[in-house]
Amino acid sequence: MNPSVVVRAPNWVGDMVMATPMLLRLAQSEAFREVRILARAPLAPILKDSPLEARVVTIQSDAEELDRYRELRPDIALLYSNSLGAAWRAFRARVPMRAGARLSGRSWLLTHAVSVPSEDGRRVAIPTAHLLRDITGLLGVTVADLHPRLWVREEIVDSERARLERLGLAPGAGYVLCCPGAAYGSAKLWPPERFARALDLLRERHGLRAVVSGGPGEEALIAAVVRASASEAISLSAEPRTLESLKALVQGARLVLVGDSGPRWYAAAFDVPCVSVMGPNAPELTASSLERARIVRRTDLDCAPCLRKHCPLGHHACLRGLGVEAVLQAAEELLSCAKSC
Amino acid sequence: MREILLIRAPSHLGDLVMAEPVLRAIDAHPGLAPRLIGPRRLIEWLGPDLPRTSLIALDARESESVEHYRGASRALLLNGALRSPWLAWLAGVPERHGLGSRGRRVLLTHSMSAPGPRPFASVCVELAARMGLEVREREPRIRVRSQGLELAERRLAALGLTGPYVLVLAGAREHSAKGLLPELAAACLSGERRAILLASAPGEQQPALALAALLPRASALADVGLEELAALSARAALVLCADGGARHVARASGARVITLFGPTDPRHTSDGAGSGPEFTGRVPCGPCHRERCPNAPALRHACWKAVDARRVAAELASALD
Repeated sequence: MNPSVVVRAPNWVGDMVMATPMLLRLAQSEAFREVRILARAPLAPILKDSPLEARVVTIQSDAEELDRYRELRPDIALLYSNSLGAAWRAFRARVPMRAGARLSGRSWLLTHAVSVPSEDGRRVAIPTAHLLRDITGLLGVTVADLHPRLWVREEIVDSERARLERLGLAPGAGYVLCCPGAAYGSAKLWPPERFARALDLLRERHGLRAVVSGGPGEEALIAAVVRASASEAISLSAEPRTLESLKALVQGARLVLVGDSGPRWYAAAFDVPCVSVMGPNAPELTASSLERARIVRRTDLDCAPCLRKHCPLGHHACLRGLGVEAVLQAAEELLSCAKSC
Repeated sequence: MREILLIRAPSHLGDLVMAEPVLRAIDAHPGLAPRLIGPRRLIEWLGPDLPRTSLIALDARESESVEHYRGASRALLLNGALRSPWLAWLAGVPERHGLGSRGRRVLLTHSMSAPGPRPFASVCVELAARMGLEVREREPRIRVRSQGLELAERRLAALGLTGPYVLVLAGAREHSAKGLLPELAAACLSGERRAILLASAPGEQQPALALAALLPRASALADVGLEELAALSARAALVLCADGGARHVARASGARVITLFGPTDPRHTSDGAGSGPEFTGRVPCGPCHRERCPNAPALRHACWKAVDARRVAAELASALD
């Protein structure tokens, strides 16, 4: 009998979106009796309306994760989460085969592990999509196309469009979706007034109205961008915002302007041009699906990429020192390519 | 002034095609003056698609020398030989990037170990990323040129093939375990009603002849060069092949490709949306990557024999519908 697999999904929005090609391939594979996806409840809407939706088992806590393993009794736990805890819980649940990346000191908990590329014993940053692909390869499943995919229902698309029109967007008008937040930490935040200035210039030069949104707890940041904008940016801070409705917002946008955060991967999945303002992150970690993306970052700093959640030096030069012009240039390059390509 | 970046091309055809997106990104980089060194047969074929890159072509018996590396400020060594980082070091190239395997690590300033079976195309992209080079388009692309097209059309006309055909890349070195097993290919194609064209490169026609004997309806073309291969692939309704260099040329030329894997591991090469369907026979002795099957006669080519010909035939039929 073919084995059953539980995939422990990543805990970050972007990583979850990046994992979609691997999840789809696993679901299509005839080598497994059953494929289930164990995902943190807040991330489950990402896979809503997709062919994977019925396979998602949500978890609220570590204890529940352990319970779900014990209920499902899989033959294989495929760990897309690189944490020690994810491997520990699969081990505690006595899943016979535990496959994942050899990271976070958890090699001893894994039966099958991918060693990540290294230099002098130190991990080399490679695209997360490559790592997820390599982990999937542990089960003999190859994934040729790493381009992420998301699905959204027509009703959601229509209701989001209606909502934007209710908030002042002209019917049929194009817009720039701006998500200035980052769940990772303050080190990834570009100053709100810079976002606002970039949005004002895009309105002035390209006639694109700004729609500013974000995740839970980012209301103040959204409000700060809208307040600093002089071009009637539409704020969604007081509106219900979910990872499901975000799909429709991204899909309908002419351009997405974000920090280095999950919505960038929504844009990749829907093939929407996207400018990502990157601060402390290593660009190599996200260097996939770049066809319609421009990463704007400073390359002249010795302290970057530091990968820290909060700037350890206090100056936050990687983002405070990043001007609007570079971002605008990247946006204009994408907009002109979208017209001519 | 533009910075001179010396790139040592891979020595194998498939690897070169997989590295093509990186070579194209470097060629388009305004701050770089790329120099590409590698086997003449390969780089002169790819060269016209890299207009800003100067080529240093090595003849079959010619070795690269330290002079080839002089003047470069960075070197990206995409081959696996120890000699290349050694020469780059001797030539005083300040930054030397490449894979650190086979003792190369000590000679490189930026090396990367790439453990496990990983697609070579991804490894090239990762090496480029470490140099600060962004590779946005990841699909290998080979332009079909007029000389290849004309030659292909002439030879197809001589065979009386004017309509659509299934191209079978049936060539391999004699006794090589990596080429399509003729019996398997014949079983996959036995129900195929379209014209079948068997193509093989110079010196690789032996398995194609064996397959032709099993498929009397098929036409065969020997001594197919790279330009012609790209043209034949682009013109084919479908390409059936083993995991070799020709497979990568076919898919980079825009052909729809079905790949059968024998002793090689698909995880080394399955990269890019255009890879197409792949069929692997799972056996305890594979993937062994051996040029010659080490098994006793009764188990010889077990990996090829484990490929389900009926499923391949069904895939062929559905792809051609």
